[in-house]
Amino acid sequence: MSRQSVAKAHQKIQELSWEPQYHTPVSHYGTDYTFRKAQKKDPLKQVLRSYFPMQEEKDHRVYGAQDGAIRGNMFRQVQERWLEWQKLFLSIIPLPEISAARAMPLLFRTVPNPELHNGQAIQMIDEVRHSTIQQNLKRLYMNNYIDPAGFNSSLRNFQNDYCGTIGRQFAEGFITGDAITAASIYLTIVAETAFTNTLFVAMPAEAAANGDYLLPTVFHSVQSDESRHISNGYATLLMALSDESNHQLLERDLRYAWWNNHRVVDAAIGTFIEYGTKDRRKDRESYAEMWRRWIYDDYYRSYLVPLEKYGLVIPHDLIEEAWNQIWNKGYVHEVAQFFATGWLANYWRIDPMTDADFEWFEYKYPGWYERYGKWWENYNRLSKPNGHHPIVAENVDYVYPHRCWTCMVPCLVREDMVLDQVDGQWRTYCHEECRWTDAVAFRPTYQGRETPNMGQLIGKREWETLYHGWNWADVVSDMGYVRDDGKTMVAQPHLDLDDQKKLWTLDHLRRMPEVQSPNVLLNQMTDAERAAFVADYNKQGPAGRPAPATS
Amino acid sequence: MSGAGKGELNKGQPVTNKHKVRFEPVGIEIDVDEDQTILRAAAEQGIMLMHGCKEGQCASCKSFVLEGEDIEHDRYSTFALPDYEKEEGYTLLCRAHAYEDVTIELLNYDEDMIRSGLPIQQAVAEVVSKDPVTHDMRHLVLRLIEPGEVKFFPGQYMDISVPGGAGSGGAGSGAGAVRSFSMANTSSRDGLLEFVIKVYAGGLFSRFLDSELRAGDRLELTGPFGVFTLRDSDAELVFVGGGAGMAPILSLLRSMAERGIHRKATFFYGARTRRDLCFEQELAAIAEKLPNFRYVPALSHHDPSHGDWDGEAGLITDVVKRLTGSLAGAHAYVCGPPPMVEAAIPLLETLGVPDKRVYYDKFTTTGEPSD
Repeated sequence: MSRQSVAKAHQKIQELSWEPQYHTPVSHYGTDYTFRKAQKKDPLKQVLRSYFPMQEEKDHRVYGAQDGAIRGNMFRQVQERWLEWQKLFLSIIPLPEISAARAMPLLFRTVPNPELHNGQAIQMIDEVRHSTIQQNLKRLYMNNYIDPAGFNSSLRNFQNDYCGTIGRQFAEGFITGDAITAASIYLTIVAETAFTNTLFVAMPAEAAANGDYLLPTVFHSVQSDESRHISNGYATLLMALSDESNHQLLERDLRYAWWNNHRVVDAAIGTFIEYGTKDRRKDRESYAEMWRRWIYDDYYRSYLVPLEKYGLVIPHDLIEEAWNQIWNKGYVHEVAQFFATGWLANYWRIDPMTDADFEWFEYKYPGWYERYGKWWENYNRLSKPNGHHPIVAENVDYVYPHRCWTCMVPCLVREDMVLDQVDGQWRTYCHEECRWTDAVAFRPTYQGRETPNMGQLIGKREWETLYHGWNWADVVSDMGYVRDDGKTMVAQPHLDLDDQKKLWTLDHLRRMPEVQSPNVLLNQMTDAERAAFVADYNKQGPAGRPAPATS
Repeated sequence: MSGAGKGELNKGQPVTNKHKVRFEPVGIEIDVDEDQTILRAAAEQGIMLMHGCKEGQCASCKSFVLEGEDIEHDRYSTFALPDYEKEEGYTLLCRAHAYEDVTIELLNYDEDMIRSGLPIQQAVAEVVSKDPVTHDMRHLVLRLIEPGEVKFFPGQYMDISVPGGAGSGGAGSGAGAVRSFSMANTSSRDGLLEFVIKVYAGGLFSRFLDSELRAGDRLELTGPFGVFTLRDSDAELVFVGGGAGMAPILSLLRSMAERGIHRKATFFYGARTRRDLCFEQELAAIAEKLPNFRYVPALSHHDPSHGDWDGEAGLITDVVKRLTGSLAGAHAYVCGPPPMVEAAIPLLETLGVPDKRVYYDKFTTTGEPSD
């Protein structure tokens, strides 16, 4: 009894109840889940007396590493290919962190478990800390890296960018819809428990391999808080499971959250890791290999499957399908190709692939060259201005894709694209599961049951529609991706800054045809035209190739 | 104790370099090879420990070493385990190798889930015997055929498929009805599964058990399931059982006797008459082995024609109320017919058992409503 045990200290703390006695909380964000039969527990025995010293120590060490990086001139030695992609990644990632902080109060109100409020409060503090040290990392890159353009404006950039909208959609997932769907299932059960390993463990390893040891320091500091968050999710899930009326909603939400996380995280992190690295050692794990180990073998088989006997309906089919997309349908490669197609609408530079890259891709993903090799050779050929347009406006056997209304990644695996008319608008979806998410899951009724808290996926979702009918030069000016001289673009399809003649300017863009929103055009079609469009689209690919001509 | 005779443990066999790792406060003990991380060894033995990256970076598996020093770690992030925490006794189980017997306090676990890692298996077993232990209860013993062993925790149950009307065996697991029965024994290598089954007039499995099932017949099983398992701590234990609720409680008691767990424990067992009592001798033997254990049978409808009775009388819940004082901080395990369970839970809470420490299995029948 006298042992100084952490578990016992934790038990004592539970006696200090968080339930407010002095007022009735107002609920802005409700849930359709019920917690009538749930036991109220908190699996993680963590107390603030050890939490704050630990965080202080971790912050000190991040500052120390930052000093070291400046003294060691790390910023001039890091691979530019890698650091350019960090302009995108570090513009996005603080937003999910802050969204996660905002998600915690949704749970205070909706999960009747005073024990867990301790953990949710800690998570909220964690997320603010993460966002702060990530933004500080970005500031250091901006001040010290050879090309600060893109780091300086990234808070404004990501939210309406060609690629950044995908990240915005992900961050908004933590606070969109039913409070439990968003803050618990989407954020803690799927994003944090399954996908942070690729985000915060694999990414830093790749950064280090490219000469950046500061990013790993910051992200290890972040990742070592994940235990608290995983535990919050697990406790809430077990509570939800004990009320059978929740099982239907859990099944729905796990399907949505799993699929959406796969679509977004695998797209972004897969691209950073596979196309942002110069490390082409054959024994380096590919994204697919990491995914198999962390997400399939561990998350799926050792975390999710044991919950099946407690009534959790696991989307086995979607887990297999996500793997099918990554391994057989080239999901990550299709995304990287799309990101590079629209390089001019971005705020970082994308390095062409070299023979060493080709060799590695062919080794890790047999058949890669046959699908994607030609296109990347074209990308290389068209990377310096020489009387031609940027690649998006040249004929390189690539059909510009439609956006998926739900996940905001385009419909890149062409055969999977489906169409639906929702809320009076024709929408394209990258996969049947994304159609289901918008047309079935995010609705005020689900399988005959009232789900008023679910909300809907609305707003200005598609980047292309924002700029339908605009000239490209005006688009880039409007987004602010122009360098100090007022005409040279921030984005470039190569890394060579030495010769002004090799850099693209607004003048090059002015000659291009205007931006067309595929969704606007889709809604102008007649029924017959739309049917023909779908038939053609589904025959396109891989690598965005036009449908074979029918004889 | 642990240090003495360490070298003799192998008894002349090749050195295997295994050590005991005990997890507190759940009281689970496993053998861990030096080559394996503690997390990995636990997973292989069905113990679900909380973890994340398995790379020593996310700190989900961070735990506290209560006893033992000799732990080596594979490469890990010092953000997940700073040196000062390591010196205080923290460890990362996903990177930790034990080089002596150690006791680890888990900081991140759910008591109900920690044992859920035992794989659920489809099994075929053969009937060894089905002896009556009372006028309406049968002691069904099965021997596993394929696989030869199914690991389970004491207190867990299996689903047994009731073969469909036509013939036996071939009904398939999907087609026929399924009934859940708790094991009365503890998991062992011999592949035996013991059940105590009450025969209800018109009960689906009962009728099949009494009239059709023969020694040598084969049954299909799925399992193990359930969280009616012992949460080890120093707390007093109260078991309240009735009817076939004997089975999982007997399993827990047998396990305590095997492991020498000397916690204060009382087993209140309710029966109608003298002829409804069973396993009396074995329970007496357990009481001899575990001096802090007491078995209290009680009869609700004593009939002198079945013999003398100088034990407790009345409904079992009334007996618990009469004989126990405060049960503050105790852990209670309740298993029996639904009315008994429903009466026992509020009573135990009134006596001071914390609501999250009342563990129960309630069984339903397909025959007549139980008494």
